[in-house]
Formats: sequence, C-alpha cells, structure tokens
Amino acid sequence: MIVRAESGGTIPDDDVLVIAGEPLSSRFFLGTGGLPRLSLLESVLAAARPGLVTVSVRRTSTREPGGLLGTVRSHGVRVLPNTAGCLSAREAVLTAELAREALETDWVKLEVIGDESSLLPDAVELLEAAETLVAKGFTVLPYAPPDPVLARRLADVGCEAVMPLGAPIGSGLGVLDPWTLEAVVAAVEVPVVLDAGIGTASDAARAMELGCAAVLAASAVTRAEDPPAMARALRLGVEAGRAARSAGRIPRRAVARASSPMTGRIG
Amino acid sequence: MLITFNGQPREVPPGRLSALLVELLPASGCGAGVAVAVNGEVVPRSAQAECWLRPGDVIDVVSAVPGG
Amino acid sequence: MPRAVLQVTVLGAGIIGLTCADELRRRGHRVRVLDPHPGAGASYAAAGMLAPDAESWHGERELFELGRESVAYWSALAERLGIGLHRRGTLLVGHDAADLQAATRQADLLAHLGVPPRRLGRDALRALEPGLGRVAGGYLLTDDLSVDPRAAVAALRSRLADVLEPVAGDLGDATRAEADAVVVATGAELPVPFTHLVRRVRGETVRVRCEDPPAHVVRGEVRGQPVYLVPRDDGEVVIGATSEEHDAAAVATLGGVARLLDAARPLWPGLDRASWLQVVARDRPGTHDNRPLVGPTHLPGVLLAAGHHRHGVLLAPLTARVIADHLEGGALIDAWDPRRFDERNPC
Repeated sequence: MIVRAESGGTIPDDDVLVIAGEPLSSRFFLGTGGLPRLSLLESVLAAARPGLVTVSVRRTSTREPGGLLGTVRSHGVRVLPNTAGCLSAREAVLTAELAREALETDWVKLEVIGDESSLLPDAVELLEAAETLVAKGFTVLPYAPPDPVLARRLADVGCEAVMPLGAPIGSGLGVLDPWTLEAVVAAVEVPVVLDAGIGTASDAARAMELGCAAVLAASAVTRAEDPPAMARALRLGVEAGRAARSAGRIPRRAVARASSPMTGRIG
Repeated sequence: MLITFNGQPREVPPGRLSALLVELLPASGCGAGVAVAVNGEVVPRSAQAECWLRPGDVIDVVSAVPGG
Repeated sequence: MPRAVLQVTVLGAGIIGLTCADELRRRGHRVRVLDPHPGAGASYAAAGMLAPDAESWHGERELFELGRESVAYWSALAERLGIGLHRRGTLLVGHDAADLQAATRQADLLAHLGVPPRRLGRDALRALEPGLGRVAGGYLLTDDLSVDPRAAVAALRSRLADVLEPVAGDLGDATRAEADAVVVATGAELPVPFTHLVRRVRGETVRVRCEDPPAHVVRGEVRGQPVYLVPRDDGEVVIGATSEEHDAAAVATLGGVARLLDAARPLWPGLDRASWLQVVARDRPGTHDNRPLVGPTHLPGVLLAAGHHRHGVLLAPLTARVIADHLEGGALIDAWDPRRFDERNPC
C-alpha cells in the first residue's frame, strides 16, 4: 500500500505503521474534542488524513448526534473510542465495553485519569484496566505517563501500543522530556504513539525523530486559529520527522566541521 | 415503576428494555452508534428484547461524541 | 401600493420570538405568540452581553459583522422598550501570562477585523477598575454593550400582552391554516421535523448582589477557564458561563458553579462579600456551523428563528428584521437560511 504525501513523494511499503496486525494509512492520529464548530470536522479530516480518529463516549438520548461517526467513516478512517473522563479501572472497563458495542470495534484508547487538574494518568488503575480489557479481547492502546518501566508493564499485559504524553493535555508544550521518551521507545517492541501536549508541527516532528511510531494531536488542531491548516502542518510534521529519523541524522558536535573542501582554495 | 435513565429518575411501565429504548430514543432509523448498560452491565442489541426491566434499574445509553 | 397585512403565529416567547412578534406588529401585521412559559428558556439565564467583538472567532467574520449590525439596532429597540443599555464597554483580561496570551489572540483577531482594541497594562486596568484582582494585562473593547434580557423580555411581554397565549402551539395543519406564516422560535427544542437541527449546549450562570461591582463588563480566562462578570445598574452581577454539550435536563451542577466561582473570584475579589441571588442553568441552541437558522423551511409557510447558540440576545433585533423582511418581500441572509441543512442526512 503506497501512501501519497503532499509534495508528491511516497512513503515506502515497508514503512507502513502496523498496530495489532492492522496497517494504518498514516502515522498522524487526530482527536476530535474542542472544535469551535462541528462544521469544521470535514475540512480538518481532509487536511489531516489521519490513520486513526479518536472519539469519546457519553450519555445521550439521540442516535449519533451531529453525524460524527458518519463524517469520520466517510473518510475511510478507523474510529478509536477513548475512555476519557474515567477515574477508575471499573469505570474505564464499562466505558470500553459500551464503546465496543456502540462503535463495533475492539480497539480502545484507554485513559484513566488520576488527577483532575493535571489530567495525568493513574498508573495503578491504568494497568489494572489494561489487563482486564486485554483478557476481554480488546485491542488496548493506553494513554500513559512517559515512564519506560510502566510502558514495559503495559506491553507485557498485552497492550498493542503505548501512548506516552509529551506534556499535559491541552498544554501545547510539546515534548518536555525527550530523554525519557527515547527510553520508552527503547523499552518496548510495540509502537509508541506520542499522545498529549503537542502544540505545533515541530513538536510532532520532534516526537517522530525521537523514535515514536505515530503522534496523536487534538487541541493543537482543534483550538488552533485555523484548524484545517494546522492539521495539514501536523501531518507534514509527522512525515518530516519520520523521514528524518530513517535518514540517519549527523551527530551533534561541539566544534565546527567544514563541509567545503580545504585544498585548492584561492589565495 | 421507577428507574434511572441517564442519571434522571423516570416513571416507566414494566416491560422489555427494547420497548423502552424505542420509546425514549427518537426514531431516526439510523441503527448503530448507540450502546446500553443496565446496572453497570452492557446489554448488546441482540439481548435487549429479552431484558426485562425491574424497579430501581439504572440504565445508561451512550453514543460517540467529539473528544480525545 | 400598501403592503398586505399578514397574520403571523409565533411559537416561543423568549427574546427571539418576542422581538420578532414586536417587529411584525410595529410594521402593522397581526400576531399571536404561543408559549406556556414565556421567557423561561435560555433568555432567563442569559447575561445579555451584546458582544460581537469579544465573542468573535476565526472563520466567523460574517457572524461578527452581522453581530455589529444587530448591536446598532439594539439602541432603537432598548429605547422603544424603555430599558437601558450598559455602554461602559468590556475589559478583556488575562489572569496569568497564558490567559493574557489568549486575550491577545482575541485582540489580534479584532485588529485583523478592523477594530483593534486598546491594550492596557496592569496599572491602567486598575485605574479603570480599582476592584480588579490579579491580572497580567488586558484590552478595552469599547463597542461591546450589554442589556438585561429579563428586563427586555418583561417589557416585550407587556407590549404583547394582548396577543400572548400561554399554550404550547404546534406545527399541525390547524395552526398552519389559520395564519399566513408560522415562525418557530422555541429555542433549544424545535418541533418535528426540525428537532435534529439544534443540539443542546447547557450553560450555568450565577447571579449575586455586589456592594462594589465592576463598572465595565469584565471577561477573560483565569488559568484557562473562561469567565465573565456582567454588572447591572442595581449592583447585581451575572457570573457566567459554563458550556457543556449534553442531552439531559438543564440543571445547575456544583462542579459547574465551582469552576465559575474559581475563575470569577481571582478576577474580582470583592465577590467574596457578594450575597447570593440565583443559580440558573438553561440550554443554548447549538447548530452545526454556529450560525442561526433564520428564514423559510421546506414546509410552506413555516419559518425558523432559531439556533442562536451564544448570540440570541445580541442577534434578536436583526433576526426580527430578517423575519419581517422575508415575510414582506422574500429577503434573506443566505448564511442563515435554514434550508442549508436540507441535504444533510441527520444520521
């Protein structure tokens, strides 16, 4: 499967992102929360061309309000429900089961929040919920703190990816701790998806250069002044970072190293 | 009998879950996209006709919304 | 040639329905207004900011321009109703540096729209409002006004008392047959077949009585939480508002009120001495593209004056004009035409 990039270049077949045996069309994942108006979703999806789109699951009395699922599916993108707002493993498991029934997918982005002001995950409840959901046949993608030890535990209980945060949700601070993020990448075999804290394209490129397999952004797009333009910028940022990673960058040096020849100079 | 529907107390006639859903969810013929839990357990579409409501049942109906 | 006198039935007696009925009567037409609880919907919670500037956002230029047009009509409307308008202007402030960045984004947008607000430092802001709490800085928006929607509704109800009936009304054949047109202005709940065009966005507001209220409308973000304080002449201050998509009955929650007060108190510390008046939650009617639904529908003789989301009070007089203009001669604001959603499958 070839994915055509904006500039006309292509991503080779052997670099397709695979999660749980499923090839995904893009390494840029999009969250849908926070758009100033629903009518923007169409143009944001067209600009982002995401590999996955996350949605939340909430009490409702109307079927599919606003046509959200229809719009996402018309772009041929897999929908990934999240358990946003859950504060315990029990709540997260029930929410995941409801999401599986409503959206007819085993995939779930597992979020269990431990602190309502920082929105940081609760590692203990997260691990318990992950184990329970894997046993129930879910494909679990957990939103986690950037911690290589926890990442290894999550992978060991059967999660199909790990999604460490770069910075708190909605903060736009980018990757606050690149060294720990690299340690997470090194600690697990499953894909690492940077999730939360992205502010702009260079943050996404940075995450990919540090070895992430994909990047998920929501607020960076939905709360930007021009969401479709930022969606495109992030998509390109993810591609640029991935390409740079594969190209093998030069080392960082403390002294200059001339790139033009020293012999045969005039004078 | 009194049940709780999406967090609100509601007086409903005794009957099947499927009948209650038909009455409380506006008819739009859209089908999928909705899930139901009774007392904290998901009741799949296939089982909703066989689920008889009891007084005090807590029913939650959810669907996808923008988020994440 | 004299204009034909129309018989119009208006469903809904909130700010929108009442101003439409009032405008139609002013133009010599006959109206009936049906509502079992006049003014009890979103109009009851609304703070009444007439704020096209502060409420503007990217990609919504025409809403900004129409909003400014509607503010201009409010002067005449307020005078006719015998109520006052608050004209001191709005202070758009930021509590911390990031909040000020958010205010600056708004100011930059307004500069781009041709109406740059004046930037004010801490000292200048305190000089204008000595009671202001800790702020990093802000802007003065002189063109945003405010009105008391409850006073407007009361004045309108009084003017329309002889035609206001406390019944629900519907879109049945009988209702449609006895009028030249039916205008649906029922707020967050539209009758079949229009129900899917509007979704409920709950807003909670808090009203208190302050000994020392601000002279201006004060609004902005406090640690990322948007909040506004709208003062009335008698010391009442409206603190608002939360914004939450939901489907249940609109009730005020402790969490929502707590978030508002956590944001309001740092902005105006004097609120700690204010006395409680009321906590009110109502549903705003949201649409898919944040534009209202004003004009004809696929049902002959049925018009919508609905879907105003955050801008009902602001856009009421303009909405009334559009409805009356359309009934008299077919004019419309295309962007507001309810039929723009006709091809959209609600599924």
